[in-house]
Amino acid sequence: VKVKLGIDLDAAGKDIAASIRALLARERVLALNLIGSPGCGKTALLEATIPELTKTLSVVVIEGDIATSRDADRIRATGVPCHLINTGGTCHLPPNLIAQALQEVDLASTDLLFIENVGNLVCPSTQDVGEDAKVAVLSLPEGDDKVLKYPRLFREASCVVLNKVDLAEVLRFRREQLFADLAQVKHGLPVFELSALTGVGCAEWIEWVRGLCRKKCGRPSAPSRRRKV
Amino acid sequence: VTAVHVAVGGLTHVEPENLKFWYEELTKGTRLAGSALLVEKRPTQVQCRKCGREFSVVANSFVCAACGVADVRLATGGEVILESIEVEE
Repeated sequence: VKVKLGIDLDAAGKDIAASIRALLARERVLALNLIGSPGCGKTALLEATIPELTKTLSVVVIEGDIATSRDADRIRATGVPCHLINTGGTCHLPPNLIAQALQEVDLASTDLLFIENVGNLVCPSTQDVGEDAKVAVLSLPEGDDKVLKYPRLFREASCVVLNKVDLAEVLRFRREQLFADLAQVKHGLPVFELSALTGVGCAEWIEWVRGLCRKKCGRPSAPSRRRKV
Repeated sequence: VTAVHVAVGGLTHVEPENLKFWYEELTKGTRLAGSALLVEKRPTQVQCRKCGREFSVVANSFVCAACGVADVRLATGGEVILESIEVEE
């Protein structure tokens, strides 16, 4: 006898992600989930742009790493609060760990939450953690062929940060290959070509983030009040 | 229970053979031991936002054949669903 069930095996994870999304909507906090390979420059991107972003926004970072507090230490050195999640081996941040971490974040006085995922192009792309947008961070040394090799990430992403453009010449990076592949996966995806090291191109990324914050939390409209009413 | 039917979308990173291997391992010594896990990998289905055409994604191309642009809404592809079980009375 066949018994029809139709049970979503990921329902528990989806429920947690939905409750995080509702919480962040209530608190008017924009959450960006940064996903990219180890060494692509996720932390460097935050280090390079947090000083500018914090002029008008209050920023918090959730840092995901298998081991060590190295990235979290770098973020804390910029002066913003950073909550470290050491996964101990898990290759991505699941929504339950994000929900747990958020209990220790002062959301009422936060405008912008960066979730820096564990370095990995595969697993984090399948996990909804209640973020407003996934950001695919790709760096030139990884090669110009990665979009079609890891299509899910670029399908899920709301923008691409292409880091280390200062190395374009030496790496002979075929920029047109990357854009042709992106066009095959997702039309109209913004690509921010920048170097977190030299700072070139960072202004456009910062403007994009500020634009999303304006939509979600109505700020920055004036200098940060730091604490929302 | 003699069989368990699971459907996985084309965008999930679930590999059917791997799933079957672990199902067999994890059900050993339980009431599910010896039951068959049948995994149906479903194609990713999308709908073009411009012309409304529905199509399956082949070779990771989300480009609509009519419009020539990958501006699509995902219909199915990310799901992992326990569809049904077969039981002996």
